[in-house]
Amino acid sequence: MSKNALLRSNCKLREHANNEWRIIVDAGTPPERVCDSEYHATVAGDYLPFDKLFLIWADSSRYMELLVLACGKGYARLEVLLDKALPAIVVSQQGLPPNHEIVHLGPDVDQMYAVRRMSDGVFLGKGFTSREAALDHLLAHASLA
Amino acid sequence: MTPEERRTCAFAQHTARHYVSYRGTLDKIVESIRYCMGESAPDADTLSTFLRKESTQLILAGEYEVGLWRNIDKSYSLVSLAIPIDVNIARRRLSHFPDNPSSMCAWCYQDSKGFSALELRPVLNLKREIIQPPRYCHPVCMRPLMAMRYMVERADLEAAKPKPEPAPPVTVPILAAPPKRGPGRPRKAQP
Repeated sequence: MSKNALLRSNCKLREHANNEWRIIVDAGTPPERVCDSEYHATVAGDYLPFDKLFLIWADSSRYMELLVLACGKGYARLEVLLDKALPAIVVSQQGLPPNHEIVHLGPDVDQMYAVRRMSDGVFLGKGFTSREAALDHLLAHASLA
Repeated sequence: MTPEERRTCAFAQHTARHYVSYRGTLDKIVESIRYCMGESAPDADTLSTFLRKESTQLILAGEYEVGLWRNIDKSYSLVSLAIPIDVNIARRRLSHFPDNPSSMCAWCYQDSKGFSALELRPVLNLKREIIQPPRYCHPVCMRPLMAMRYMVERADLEAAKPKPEPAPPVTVPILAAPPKRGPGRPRKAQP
């Protein structure tokens, strides 16, 4: 009979055994800093080994998941599970590629939002129902100046 | 959606952009949209039925930047969900407060009067706390309001970043003097 089989006593609901923490990190904090033991010193007393930390940067620029390997009062040894830089959502005129603008032409189906190249007034696309749709088209088809 | 329905949605977008924030009877909204469409307008009953459908209202809010919903007092609201493209305009809008911030939506400024607890939701920050000063918002208006807040927040963060020092100008002499050479290997005296 195989010795490496899971016993019922070794299998427990995760929510009964460990916690998951949602942490808001100040904007501008480098990702290496949050892996330091000192960063978590004030709260590490509440962590449990193999807790999961979900870190969200305050300006929505980054998302990280850390696993607590060892912890105690004032120290925590962590392992990075996921580190993802989040793309910035371009919304304002200043964030658009240069020499392009998004205008609203009128009510008809082939008017609405349009992408226009400012240097020669050529429309790259018309008839977008929302600014986001026009923006997606612009980012895919913007002419380099 | 049929082409006629798409056309109707486009004109509903135009009407919403014209009014920015309108609250009244559905008949008046239907009348305005039909007036814009002119001769090709569907008749009032068809348009009214089309606008009252939940699927239409979801499409209008999701794709056409038009908020259309029925309020608790059975009036209809038609609100444009287009956000300003200029960051300065957005900043001014966010710092403007209506007469009664606890019962007026932060985006469309429509007054819910006694029903604010049912119609409006609090605007929350990333930590799920209500922002200070407290603002409330219709669920449909929440999307453009949060997008506008995000835009202003991003712009403020960019402005607060320290600008890199301009590099000092590099001076290269045009005719560099040749390097001084040592005596070299000993040479035989010239005869």
